[in-house]
Amino acid sequence: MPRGPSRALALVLAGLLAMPLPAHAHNEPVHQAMTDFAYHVLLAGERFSRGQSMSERLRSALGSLEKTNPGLTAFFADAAAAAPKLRVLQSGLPPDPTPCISPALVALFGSPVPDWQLPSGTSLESLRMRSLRVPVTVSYGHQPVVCAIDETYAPSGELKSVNPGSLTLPRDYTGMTLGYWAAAPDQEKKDWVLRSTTLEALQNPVVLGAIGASVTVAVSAVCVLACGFFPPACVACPFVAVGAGGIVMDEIASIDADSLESGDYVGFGHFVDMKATPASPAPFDTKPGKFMERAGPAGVPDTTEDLVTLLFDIGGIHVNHDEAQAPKNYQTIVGTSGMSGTSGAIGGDFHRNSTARSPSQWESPTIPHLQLTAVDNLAMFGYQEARAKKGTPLEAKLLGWPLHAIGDASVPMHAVGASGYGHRPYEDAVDMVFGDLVGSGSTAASVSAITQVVLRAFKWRKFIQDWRALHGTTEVPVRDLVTAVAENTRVKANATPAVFKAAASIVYIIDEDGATAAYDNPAMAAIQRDLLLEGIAAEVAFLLSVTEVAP
Amino acid sequence: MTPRSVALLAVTFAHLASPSLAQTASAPAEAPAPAASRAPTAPARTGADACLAQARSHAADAFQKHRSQEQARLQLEIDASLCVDPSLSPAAANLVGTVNADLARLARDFVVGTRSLAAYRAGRADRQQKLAALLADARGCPVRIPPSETTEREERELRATLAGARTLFNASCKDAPPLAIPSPLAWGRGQQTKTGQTGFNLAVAKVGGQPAGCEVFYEIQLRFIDPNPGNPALPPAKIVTMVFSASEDLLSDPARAIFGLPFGAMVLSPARNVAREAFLREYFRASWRVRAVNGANQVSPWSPFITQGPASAGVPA
Repeated sequence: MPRGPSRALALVLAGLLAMPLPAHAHNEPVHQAMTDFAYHVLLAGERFSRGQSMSERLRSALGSLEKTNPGLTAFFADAAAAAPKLRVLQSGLPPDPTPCISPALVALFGSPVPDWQLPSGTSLESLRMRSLRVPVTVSYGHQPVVCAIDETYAPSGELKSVNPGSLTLPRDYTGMTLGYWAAAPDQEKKDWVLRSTTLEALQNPVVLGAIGASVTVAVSAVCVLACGFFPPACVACPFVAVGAGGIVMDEIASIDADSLESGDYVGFGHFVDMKATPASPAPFDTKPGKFMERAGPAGVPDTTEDLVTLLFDIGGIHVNHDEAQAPKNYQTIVGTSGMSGTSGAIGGDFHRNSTARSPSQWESPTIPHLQLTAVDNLAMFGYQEARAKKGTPLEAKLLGWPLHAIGDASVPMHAVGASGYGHRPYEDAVDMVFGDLVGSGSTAASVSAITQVVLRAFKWRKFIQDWRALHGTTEVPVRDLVTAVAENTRVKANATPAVFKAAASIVYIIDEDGATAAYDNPAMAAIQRDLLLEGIAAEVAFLLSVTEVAP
Repeated sequence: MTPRSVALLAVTFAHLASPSLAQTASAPAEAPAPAASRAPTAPARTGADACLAQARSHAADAFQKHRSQEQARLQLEIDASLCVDPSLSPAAANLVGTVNADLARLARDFVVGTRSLAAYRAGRADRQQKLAALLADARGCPVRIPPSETTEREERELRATLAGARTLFNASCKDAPPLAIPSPLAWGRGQQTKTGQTGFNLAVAKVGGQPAGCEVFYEIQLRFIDPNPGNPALPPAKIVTMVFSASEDLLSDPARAIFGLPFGAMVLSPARNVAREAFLREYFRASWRVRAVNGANQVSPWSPFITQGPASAGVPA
């Protein structure tokens, strides 16, 4: 009998490669909420500086901070100058006519289709952020089933008092819209387009050929793999029709899948490995991106990384350099004074440039044995492009890149290049409890979170101002800032080693709930809150400073 | 010729006799022909895709003609290395391809259970060190990592995970379009008219647009909060994930689907049972989100979480 390619088995392998392994990002709502919080802290500074209304608790707290930190007077004044500049950014939002079904939104719009009440001759993408009448969620523009407008939105805790309003009364949605763009790099599916040397070429179909149309079955993933490579194993590969009162369905609850051009791989370039770098293999950036061979807090990959490695090696999965954007966009070589930059030399932002790699250097190793691009380079790409697109609808979108990078740099696993060590359950838990971590539920907790962010933002602001003074520029040290946030994250995480839970990541693949619960407790909340507030604070400093960059 | 390929060429001859870089591995019964004699044409990088397609075709052809899968894979990897870097000498291509084929073989051996985790890691490290040493024009040595209690425990965890992993397959989902992102709408008590029951119902925005026969599943994740103060043993929060088939939809509405957890004593899956108890007597509110999955192993992104108590008017179906 002829032996030929099997699309079915290729599909299964592709599915396995996309098991819930956190190469990809799943925390877009957290990125949006962080940036929204950061914008509102700027807004609080603006209103405090101008003596405008806010809750007495918040005004009193900011006043106390100012008394003990006189430099905050200038900080609040700078915030007052920065926030209006953000409000006049063009929204960049694409049209998304997905109808709403909520009675409140249908009543607001007068029909199910969102009505932005655009002035004559103005498109939604060119509408100023201050003129947006509703906030969008991260699903907006990405095929939601119902309109992705957040009718229940309110700023966090006491920050409501600096941006009052409601769905029917005017409110400023600049923070939510900037946050939408901060989440957007997770949608850049062209960043990492992969290619399998062998997929579909050598597989041997046996196990799935007999299953009829319209029947969904659950198959042991490893058994299918074994069967493909070792046909006698196929007899041990039973499949189970999905159904039976949900029992089988619960078992498959954790299986993700997608094609090789997939959102699951977007996050490959969202790491910066801050631990000490060995001489060999030589890094292509001062602080390299993800490199599976050295993943983890001490450079020892865990079993999740083993799993990713073996799946990618079995599939012969490489970067497709011609189609993947990340190797071109996030290999960062910055020039000075109109001169083009030099590979590996100090760049125009006084941060060492990437060492350039040829297309074949990107493509020859399989993914686990390739140094991926670093997230500070992703940030720099967005910053430079935003400057180039200043005054256009693309500016806000591109500012999302550095904001996203700062958010990722505040996650311990992103700062040590780890797909495992509890990466995905940590992020899922933060997504679930974000409101609690920033004190949304109580006045005291909210004021505490806001004042901590202000103090930390003041520190990051000084970091930027010192750099500007040293180098005589009004630029923002994007690569330095992102790596400094990541280093802060790594140091704090190392002081709380329980945050790295190798077992949680491997458990997550078959017991998502149990693994996530390991990060949903007071001990973990303490470090999650600390790192989250630090990331928000760095975003405040970035947003404030980026409005000052000379054109 | 690049400096890299020169270095590779200089140190590769010693390895050409063996199709594997493993010093201890047994040679396959049939050695592959020299790469140069059967490498597909790869004159320029712009033709990499076509070159790879040709390489795959050669490998599949060799497989059809009863070369072993391992031999065909090795040939494919060697040819592929030339496709992505046409400047490589045949010997250097042989080296790069052999490393990639070895890594695949080591992984496969672990999956089928003929290699331990310690041996798999040792093999990987061995190939990585050898390649690095060869690039540096030095000599690498095999790495031997003795098994430890830790690696044995990790191996058990990894094998248990692999053994427990399931993947979906439905032939009707071939070429299905990407799934739209569903949304959680409301949860609460209500009739379940289709089944004649009463219970807790979860309403979500419905995903459509899939080919006939391509079943859609809704994965719903709940984090229950605000525990019943009358039961101090309850944790502050409880996380539960359930999967429902579209065929369990209690409505026939094009926009909304409702999935039920009946009060009756019927047997539920473990996760549904936990969720029903949590709704019924343990917690007052829940943060929840939903995503869609189909039998082509496509999955939509998760919706954002929303936090709700029970709908005041219930969620009737």
